[in-house]
Amino acid sequence: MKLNATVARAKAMWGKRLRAEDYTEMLNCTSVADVADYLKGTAGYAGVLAGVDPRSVHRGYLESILRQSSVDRILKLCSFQNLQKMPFYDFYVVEGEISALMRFILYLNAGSAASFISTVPSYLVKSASFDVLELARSFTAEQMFEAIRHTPYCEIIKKAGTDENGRINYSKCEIMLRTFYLGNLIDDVKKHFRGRERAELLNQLMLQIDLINIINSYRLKIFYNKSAESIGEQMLPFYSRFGKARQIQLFESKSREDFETVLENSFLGGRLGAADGDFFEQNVRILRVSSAKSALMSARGVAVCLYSISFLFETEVENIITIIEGVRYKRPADTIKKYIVV
Amino acid sequence: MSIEKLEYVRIGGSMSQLDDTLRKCCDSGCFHIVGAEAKGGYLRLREENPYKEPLSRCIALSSKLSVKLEKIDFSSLELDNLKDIGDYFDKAERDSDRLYSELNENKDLMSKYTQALTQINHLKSLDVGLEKIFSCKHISIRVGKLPCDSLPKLLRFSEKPFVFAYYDKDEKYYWGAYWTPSVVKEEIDPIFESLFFERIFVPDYLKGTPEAESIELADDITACSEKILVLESRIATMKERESDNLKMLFAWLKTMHDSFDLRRNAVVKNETFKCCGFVPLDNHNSFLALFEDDPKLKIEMLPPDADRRLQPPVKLKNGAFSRPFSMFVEMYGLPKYDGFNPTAFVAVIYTLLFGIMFGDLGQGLVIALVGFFINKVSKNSFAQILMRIGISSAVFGAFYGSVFGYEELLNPVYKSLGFESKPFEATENTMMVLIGAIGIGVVIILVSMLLNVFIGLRNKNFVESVFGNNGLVGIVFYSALLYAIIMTLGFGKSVFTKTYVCLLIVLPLLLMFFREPLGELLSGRKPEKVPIGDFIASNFFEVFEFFLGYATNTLSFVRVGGFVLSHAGMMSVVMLLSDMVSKGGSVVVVIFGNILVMGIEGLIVGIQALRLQFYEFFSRFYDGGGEAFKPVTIEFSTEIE
Repeated sequence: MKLNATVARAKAMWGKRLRAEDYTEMLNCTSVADVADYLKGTAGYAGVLAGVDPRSVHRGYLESILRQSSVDRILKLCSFQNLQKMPFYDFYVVEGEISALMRFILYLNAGSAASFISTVPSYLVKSASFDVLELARSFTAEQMFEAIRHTPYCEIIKKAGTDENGRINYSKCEIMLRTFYLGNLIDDVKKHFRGRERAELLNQLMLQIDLINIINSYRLKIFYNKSAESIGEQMLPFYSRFGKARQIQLFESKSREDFETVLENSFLGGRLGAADGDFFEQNVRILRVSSAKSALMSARGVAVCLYSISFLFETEVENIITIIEGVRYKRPADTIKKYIVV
Repeated sequence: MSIEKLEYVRIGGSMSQLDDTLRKCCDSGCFHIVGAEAKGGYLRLREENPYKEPLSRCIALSSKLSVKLEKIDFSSLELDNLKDIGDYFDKAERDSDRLYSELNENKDLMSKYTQALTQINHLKSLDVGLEKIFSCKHISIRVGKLPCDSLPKLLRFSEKPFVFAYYDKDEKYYWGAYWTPSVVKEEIDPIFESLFFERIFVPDYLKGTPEAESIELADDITACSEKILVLESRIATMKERESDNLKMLFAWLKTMHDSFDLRRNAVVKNETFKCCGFVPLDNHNSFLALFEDDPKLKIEMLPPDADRRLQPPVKLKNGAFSRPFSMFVEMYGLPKYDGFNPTAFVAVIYTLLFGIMFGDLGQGLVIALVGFFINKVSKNSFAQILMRIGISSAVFGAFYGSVFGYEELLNPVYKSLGFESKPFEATENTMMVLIGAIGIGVVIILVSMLLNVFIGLRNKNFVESVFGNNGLVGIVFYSALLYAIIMTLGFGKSVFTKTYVCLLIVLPLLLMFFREPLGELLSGRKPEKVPIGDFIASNFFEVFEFFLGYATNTLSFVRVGGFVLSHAGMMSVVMLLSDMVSKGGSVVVVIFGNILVMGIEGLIVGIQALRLQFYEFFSRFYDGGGEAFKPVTIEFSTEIE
């Protein structure tokens, strides 16, 4: 299907992104109000923050508006040529539903389910496949299952089981939900797309999976010193150019240096650049962003374009929130900058 | 019209030579650095850049004081060691922090007063003192605003003892207040806090009626704004005092920082280092000459694919005419190192299409002159493109006989050359213009298909090059269909014989339908297993789309003819308007009309020509995905990696 108009519109929208100099200006702000004030003057966020007083805006609300803006932009692009009802293009809703469920489980396990309501994005209240407000009213796992009973998530979360304290097994649940989401997405791509668009989409998805697995295995290996077998169980079960054998080699590495050497010798080696100890995860994020950028710029198909730009919008908002948090806690600009991915 | 050949350079030496080597690489202006491989005991150099912290402080302070940083001579800089520089920043930051924190405090206060005033203005009709409202013993009242998104979420707490009422609403907020029994306010306040309720504190000293107190608040706001003005003028004085020092410090720190930063691309082992990168083959000798005075340095010049981890970067090699058009290729995405550089095609096609669509001798020369002057002031590719397309427009304008919309002005010239009148009158040959435009489109489409075949065969991609809609089979189908249409419509002679239809129409369509399995078989690979239903359904619609694509893409070029006619039409409107006013006014109308047409139509034609390039030409054969060749250099920008 030719949807060049949406591709052109998406690229025009991307033209309004924040540039490196915008981040520098925000990093030099001394208060959250100044950051909000600066954002109000940018092309991409002037409309989003219209009607908001930077001096008095609640920091949580500011972050919530920014997060909402990244989804609103995708919604706007999808509704331009009525894509939202077509297979694959609801990926951001499914992703939002899974993130909301994961957050709810986290609050539920911590005994503070009431706090969940403030984190619910307003688009989910309207477009989720379950009643998010009913979920927010739940105080127990049973009530949660009741709220999501008509969705596939219900069985998946039940299957994840509970730990010895009766709490839902969060990490297993996360892997199972993400596997469900990515598996469905890959199936949709294989079923509904052909040729170059299919190859580009699979390339984006597989790279995303590889990088999630690499980051997770890095944390489990370096910070928690887990065994290769235990790391393997916590990986997303999809294999691409970064094959199973290479994964095992990664899990079995003896030290951070070994881990980085295995990576350097893989197809990601040259693209990951200089592996830099403390900022390894940052390098991985940079790689994902640069891959999404180049996919967006060379995209001819609308699906690749929307999938890439959705990730780029999210990253931009995460960057802003990192700056807001950094400024709020008076961290030096140099320290905050290390966590910004441009 | 190719991609510059590169060499992979590996440099090794002792640690004492590292900084000097990297600085020379910077000076060479042709060295694209890449991270060296950490193997064989070599480890990546991980060290803090000592210039980073002072440089960040310099940039932050300058940004705070709105000092514009740039490359300047720093020879008169008095501070030359990091300790003194640190002390200087300590003092300057202390001063600026004090001023800015005072300024922010006053701005916050003013914002609070302004909001309180807004809130009180909403209560103006209330004939009760504020003190009475806020001193209720058993009921607590919180005045403020609740985000619109949060209102439905309040339902989550419907069983709690509170009432929220709003008396105004804007795009983002409900302005109002909530009432709750004082004994449970500790429970209710966090609920509203979690829903981002922004409380507006009505100052304690406001005790009277809202009407009376609003006057007092207005006085407070005036006092605050006066204080803000004083503080802003003190900040301006500080900026004037520190400006030169900050600029020189920036230039020195940036030079030191950037050259030190390149060290992280090197790997080291036992006081020796290795670093690597790419250098254009043409710069082989000049690059080596830089290191002649250092015989201990080991420099290996290898083929570009010597390091299998790396994809060589891309530097487009273009002739003088096509060079500025590489901007369009970069916009679309650079080719890979072993890919195809289409810049020359882009240059020729874009220039011709623009000239044909916007043919006017006078306007073309104006565009070329504008390009020439912009290029003089700031050398840029866009200005150089303007010069080329302006000349093209002038040449076609001479052919159409159009000068600033005057269609008869060149007639004496044509007569002196032996013609009876102008060579071509577009408005009298509408069909010829439109058919000619389609003809141009057919040629461009066929050229792009041939390029696809050439590139596909070179990469052994038989699906695309042989069986694809832009491959050999596609060319046969498209040409056969066009030939048949021309013969039938143009000469009244049908060529649709059984053999013609079977061999040149149906067979290519079938080959396109089975292009993926056939291509895989030709490459010696086993075709991917796809459910037969899926295969038939998806290929049927794809082949149908190819078929429609040939028609729509060809007809898309009708716009070229359309713009030839619209240009003539727009200029005739300008001339008509100029005839309707007095003689003095007529000149003004002609000048403004020409400026308007050049601005609006020139822009549209420029965009349409680019659109035809990207969608009808590039999309048939071109793949991006290359990385640009970026020689290391000192960038005097305020961005720090």
